[in-house]
Amino acid sequence: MTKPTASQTLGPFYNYAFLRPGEHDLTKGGEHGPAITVTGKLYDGEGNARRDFLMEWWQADASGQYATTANAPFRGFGRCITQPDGSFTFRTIKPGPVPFNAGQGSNAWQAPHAALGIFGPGLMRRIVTRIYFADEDNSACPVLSLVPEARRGKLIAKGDGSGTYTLDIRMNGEGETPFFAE
Amino acid sequence: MTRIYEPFGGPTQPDLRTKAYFRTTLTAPAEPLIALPRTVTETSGPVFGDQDLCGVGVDISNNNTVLGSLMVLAGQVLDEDGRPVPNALVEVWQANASGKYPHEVDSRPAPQDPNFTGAARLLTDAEGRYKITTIRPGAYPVPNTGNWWRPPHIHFSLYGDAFASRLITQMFFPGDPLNDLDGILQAIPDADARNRLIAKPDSSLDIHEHALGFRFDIVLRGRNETPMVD
Ligand SMILES: [Fe+3]
Repeated sequence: MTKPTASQTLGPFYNYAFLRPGEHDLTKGGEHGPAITVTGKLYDGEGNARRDFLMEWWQADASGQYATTANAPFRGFGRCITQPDGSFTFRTIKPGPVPFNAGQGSNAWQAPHAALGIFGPGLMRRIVTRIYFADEDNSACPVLSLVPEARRGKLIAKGDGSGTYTLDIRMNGEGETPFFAE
Repeated sequence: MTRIYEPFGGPTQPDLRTKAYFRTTLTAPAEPLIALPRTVTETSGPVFGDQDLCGVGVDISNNNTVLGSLMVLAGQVLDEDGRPVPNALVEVWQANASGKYPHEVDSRPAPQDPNFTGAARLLTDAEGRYKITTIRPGAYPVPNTGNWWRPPHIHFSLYGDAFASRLITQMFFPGDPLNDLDGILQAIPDADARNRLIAKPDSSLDIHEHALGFRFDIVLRGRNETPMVD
């Protein structure tokens, strides 16, 4: 076993190397299901909205399948960089439930979710969280159940009934978003 | 029985909260990270193709028109089991020879270079190899820190074959006196792990009497690590 190369911060001056037009929009290139918008703001430990953080989104398609090729109709991957007001927006479809299959013989299912990775100045490594949806049945998700009950709500985006879901992310401090070990 | 993977971290990785890099104070989570058994969400990942390169090439020297000391930089991307990682997305960016980024937020009055775009993008080949041409970047000061100058470095972003095999890092140059003073490089506790971020001169990569060769290999997290049982 070789140790993984050490992570280093993304730093502040990267946007020109990453920004691809429309990459926050996972619905490009065809009909994959009803489009939804997931939006929110990114905050630091003092409650400041933080700009220029890179967010990466990874999800399954509506049937719970993860894309396995570069030309899959729904690729499931998106990126955005937080705006001067700290806001981020992804345009996508609801993912289906996916198998848990982590323990031996487990036949549990994970509630619909997206994995979210965050990089930016002041982050020496990626921080990883998930986004769930308030209008899905999240009660039996084996991953959500690893999160202390009082903090679970911080992972669940609320819908407005017309396809827009909102969830703020707090990297540190009061009301901190739960993050997962990698 | 739950299978919990050995967490990323330890002395070969910087802590999220790093004294030497003051900016981490407000961004590093204070609550403990929640251990997560790897599920299909983490063991699958985006697959990239030529269309994702968007025409950004592998020649940051822009056909020898960029000012600075020319270099060839190449290496291999491996996983923790030593297997090559083919088709990894590699995104590279850096400052110009005077330590200035082609970015609106970099307001330091150092000269821009009109031919410098500062970025390369590629997919690794079947053996996990990459190769770019560039110039040696300059050092630059970190604003509002007294006298902290970042040593010359090149930023690397890599996406392997899974959401879990994602890495953003920086490559440094051998022998630079600023390396030992850099709060970001020195945030890695383990000296060997720091040394692995320093490129090695490699004359086999030289372009004769034109460009100096350097080698920088990168290890990503594997898809199938040995699980720990808790
Ligand atoms: Fe830099």
